[in-house]
Amino acid sequence: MTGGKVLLDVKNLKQYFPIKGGLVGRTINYVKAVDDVSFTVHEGETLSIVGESGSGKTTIGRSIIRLEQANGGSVMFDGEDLLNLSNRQMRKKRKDIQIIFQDPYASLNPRQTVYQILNEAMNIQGVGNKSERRQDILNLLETVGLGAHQIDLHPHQFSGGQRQRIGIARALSVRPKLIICDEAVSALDVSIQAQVLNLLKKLQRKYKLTYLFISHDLGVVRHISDRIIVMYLGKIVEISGKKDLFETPGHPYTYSLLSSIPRTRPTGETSDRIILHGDMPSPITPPPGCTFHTRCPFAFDKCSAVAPQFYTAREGQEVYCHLLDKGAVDFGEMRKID
Amino acid sequence: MEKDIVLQVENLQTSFFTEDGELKAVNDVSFTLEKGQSLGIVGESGSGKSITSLSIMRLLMGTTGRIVGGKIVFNGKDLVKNTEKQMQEIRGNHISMIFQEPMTSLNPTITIGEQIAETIRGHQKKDRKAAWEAAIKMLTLVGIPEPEKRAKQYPFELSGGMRQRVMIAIAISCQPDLLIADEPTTALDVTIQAQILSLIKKIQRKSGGALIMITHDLGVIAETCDTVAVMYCGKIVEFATVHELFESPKHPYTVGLLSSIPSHETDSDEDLYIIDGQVPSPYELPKGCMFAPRCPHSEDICKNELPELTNLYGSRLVRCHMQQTEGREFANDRWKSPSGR
Repeated sequence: MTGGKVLLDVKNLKQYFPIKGGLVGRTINYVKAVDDVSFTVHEGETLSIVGESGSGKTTIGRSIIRLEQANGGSVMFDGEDLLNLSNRQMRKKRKDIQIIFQDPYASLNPRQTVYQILNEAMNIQGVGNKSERRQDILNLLETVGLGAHQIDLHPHQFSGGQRQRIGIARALSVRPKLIICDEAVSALDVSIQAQVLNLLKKLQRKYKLTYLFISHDLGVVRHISDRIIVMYLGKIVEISGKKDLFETPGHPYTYSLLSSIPRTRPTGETSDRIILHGDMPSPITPPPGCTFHTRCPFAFDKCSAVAPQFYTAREGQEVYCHLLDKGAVDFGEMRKID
Repeated sequence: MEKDIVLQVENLQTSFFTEDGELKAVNDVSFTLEKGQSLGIVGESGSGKSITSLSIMRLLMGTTGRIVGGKIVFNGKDLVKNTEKQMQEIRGNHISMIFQEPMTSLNPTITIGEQIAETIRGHQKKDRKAAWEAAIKMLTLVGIPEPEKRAKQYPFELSGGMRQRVMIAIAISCQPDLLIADEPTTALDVTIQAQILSLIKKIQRKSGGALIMITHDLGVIAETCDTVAVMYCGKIVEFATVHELFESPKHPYTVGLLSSIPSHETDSDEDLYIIDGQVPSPYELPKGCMFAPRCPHSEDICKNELPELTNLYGSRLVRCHMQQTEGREFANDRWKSPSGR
């Protein structure tokens, strides 16, 4: 599904958060949450961003929709650089780009009814006709699997899964082109998570939606994505089609991430697993060269000195790793030689 | 041959008494655990899995909850009858617990070395110096680099994975016979989760103690446990060895749970299997089988009569009318939902 037109083109995006310190509260350093990240999202696809806590995946989503002010780079959407828009222009743009958050309870106003929540969103963006508003909202509720009798209820009267459906309805209400799903199913139990994932897929088919799907759960990501970005310490380490990423991961971090997930069946066979040692380094002082070299079992001299550029492992699979300079890599095989 | 039973829970019932009435969080739960064995308790939010472990530890005071029935026989003695003083003797010394959130379970104002040493001195006759040395030994055992330096640090100076290692060090510092891990890796990233799970397994194998692993993640169960209890609405609905459970789940809820997990190991463009509806409110539990309102195989009897937890063979237990009367197989491929729901 990567043949579609480019909807979102992110180039060299940088998001640094200042650290204040000292007596006068000067900026003494920066957290490089997102450091020089470039990728494109095509119309109608689901592009996922995976990574562990602190990898910068959530910040990318927030920078794109301007909930944070990026420090550099460009975000082209529909021929316009979102980073150059005024706040007023950006508000209008959010009609096309919506976001669904992780915690459906914290992201809904507890004093408003479902009707008020959806009505407010539609008013701000001037969607539809006011006289048909109630009917529109009823249709929306039906689309996301809620009942007409629930239109005047408050968020606390719903379960977690239902609240997330309200969040989805709110995002849909302004008829966006792109929806950023930030850990949208992470807080839900598996049986409810399955319901919401199926709903997201159904809506994508129905409304030709494009998703930027941010998640730490690789099972969910394999289910929903067309392409996947793997982040580590504010940088992209691999961009790949779903099949290639899971079957022939190109970056050692991707490989260890995949091998760390508990098997869905007990096999007792985990010898090909790479358990990483230690923790992710601080994003304030990222290691020089490749940021992963401090934990990488295959690192060699060059890795600590030079930051890798991307290599094309196969068509559509870009990997930021020096190992690829040496040719194709089979981590399972390398593991056995060790 | 008489097996070495560490823990025997019999018909445990724990309820919370709220303004809205009695909430039966754990409703007639029984299981036994042998020395060296690891039992997984899996279930979704509200299934009663955590309350089962808190009941075993008798950690419900300060809440509106209490044990209203049943026995918890640990090393031959019923914990339900114990006084708080007797329980303090048991906690830490004989039964230890690892919680989900290592930051809130550690004291932020005391160095981690002190916290471990404190536990050791509280339970064993050791002087300050010997306890401190023992604490450093524990930190080494759980794989904390530079243990002497780390022992003098405070919890906030440690990462989430490191804190959880400290929690494990405290929990095993007195060589307990039973270790209860309540969602020990839920707050951690997968690469750190892999580290912690392999540590817990290694320690259990080495000490030969029993382990109860409480989690919502069937993958964690598959990796660490010998036997599994699946809980739904405060009741065990299925009990099996880990291989049996994943090979041929017998309860429709287990089948549904297994098939609704998106897999990272296979590609599928099909929709995920969906268990319809949601967990019933604990105040308005169904009269018959708790799962009947959501079960695609339920019949009249399911809605009216609560099924017993019945022995199918060996240690295999299932609470389902359809299994008992007909011994039906609910094969996974029959469990694909009609698309588009």
